[in-house]
Amino acid sequence: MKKYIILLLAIVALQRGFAQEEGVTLDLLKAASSPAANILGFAVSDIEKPTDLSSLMLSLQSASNTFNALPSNYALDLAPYFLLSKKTFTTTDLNNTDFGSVFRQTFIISLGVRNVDSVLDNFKAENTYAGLGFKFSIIRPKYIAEDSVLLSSIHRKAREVNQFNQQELKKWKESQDPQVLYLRNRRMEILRNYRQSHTAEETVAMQQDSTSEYFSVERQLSFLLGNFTQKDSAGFKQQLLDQIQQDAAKFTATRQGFSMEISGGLGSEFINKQFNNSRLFNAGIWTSFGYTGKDLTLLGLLRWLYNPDRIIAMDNMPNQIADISTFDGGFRLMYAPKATRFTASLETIYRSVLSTETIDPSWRLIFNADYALFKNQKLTFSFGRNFDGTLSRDGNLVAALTFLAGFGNKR
Amino acid sequence: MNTSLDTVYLVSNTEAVVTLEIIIGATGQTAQTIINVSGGIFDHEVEGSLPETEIGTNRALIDNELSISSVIVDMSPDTNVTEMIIRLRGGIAFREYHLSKVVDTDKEAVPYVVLIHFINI
Repeated sequence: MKKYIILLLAIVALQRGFAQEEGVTLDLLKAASSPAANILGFAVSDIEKPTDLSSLMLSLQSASNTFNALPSNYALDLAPYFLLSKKTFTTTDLNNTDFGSVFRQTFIISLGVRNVDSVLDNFKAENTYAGLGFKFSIIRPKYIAEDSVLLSSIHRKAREVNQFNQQELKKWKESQDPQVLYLRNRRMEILRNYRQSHTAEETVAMQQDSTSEYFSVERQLSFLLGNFTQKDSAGFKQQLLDQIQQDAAKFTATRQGFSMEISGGLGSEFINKQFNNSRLFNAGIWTSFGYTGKDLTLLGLLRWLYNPDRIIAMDNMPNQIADISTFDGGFRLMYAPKATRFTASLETIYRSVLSTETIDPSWRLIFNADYALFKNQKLTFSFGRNFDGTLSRDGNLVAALTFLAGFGNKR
Repeated sequence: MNTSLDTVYLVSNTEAVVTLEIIIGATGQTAQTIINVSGGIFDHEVEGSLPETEIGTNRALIDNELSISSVIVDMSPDTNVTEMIIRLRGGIAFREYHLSKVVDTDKEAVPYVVLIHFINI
């Protein structure tokens, strides 16, 4: 009998479907990926993210009609350190957790300008809007232990290849190959002859002249060096390079540990598109933080907004109140062990309006669990307290239990 | 695209210090490098890039060689470019040498070999 009840439960739950989770929206609070663009209401896909100065200039040129006019709708995320520094970051650098490295690698400046054709949310067609924002990480977790082991293995095998090549370079220096000897002697002859009638600095310039015989001789020598060191009769070097490639293919770049990020932005409104007539349109500052573990994840968000386009404390209604400040916060604890079908989460959200006493703060606490029966079918269950203080019960398991309870009622 | 270099860096007969910097690219790649200056002057291994580092005086480096062997692994999911930029300062003039290779298959490992002769003429 018990087996039949469980089977019926599953059938009813599946028929009700996964879609019956309207009451639970677990992403009510989201950290903005692009601060200023988010303040101006741009879609993430509309934000330009140039990675070097050339692509930045091309993007600006396109947006400004070849630098003839200010862009009318344009959003840009810049990583200053990547753009302006000639340095790059290797995997070793990206695994650093000291604040200096993390800040340099994650600091983003966000810029945007917006004009609308008609009234949209709080934007007016006769005004121009500009936004400025920033984002950076304070704490960044390291790669997981498995990835660290792979990196160590890669470095160890690369070192063996390099030690082998150092020996090859020694042999190359002592090479008596007639062609190599001729090219080396010719190179020195050209240098000495040139230096006799030119300064040392001019000789250096000649070395870099791609039309000079010196440049051609050196290019041949470099090519022969490459061929010389590629000789690997025992296949030893190639074996190591193949093993390195296999290790690299397993590298996931997954991070585990504590993380914390801060973002902020503000938007200005230029009345009647006049640059000398502006006011603060909206602003915000928020921090997201958490811990990512193997099976357990804790995420948190605290956010202060001035004049948001929607007020979370009023069930996400459009903001029609002037000069309003809101404060929202939330935490989510998720348990999702790999190789199991079960996941559970506990989420709480607090929302408030700071600048008026007519809207009371409220909070919500929801427990959610699901079990994957088949690939695209889950048993879901949620229970908790809604913002209005009422009890919340949802999920297709609840529906199934309710159905069964009704079916088994004594008449 | 080239992954090998045999070149000459002109130095003077002075005690001015010569520095070496190695930049590995593109962002997200992994590298291990062995650096050696003959005559026991300088010996170093590094994972990733090498910040500007003193390798000896002009006078000490005359008629010696700098040998660099590096393996750069394409770990980045965004690009298949591997590159090595070598910068030498403190000799007769600043020199920058640029080597690179775009790998055909993801996660490929590329060996680079460089030999730089320090000459005073």
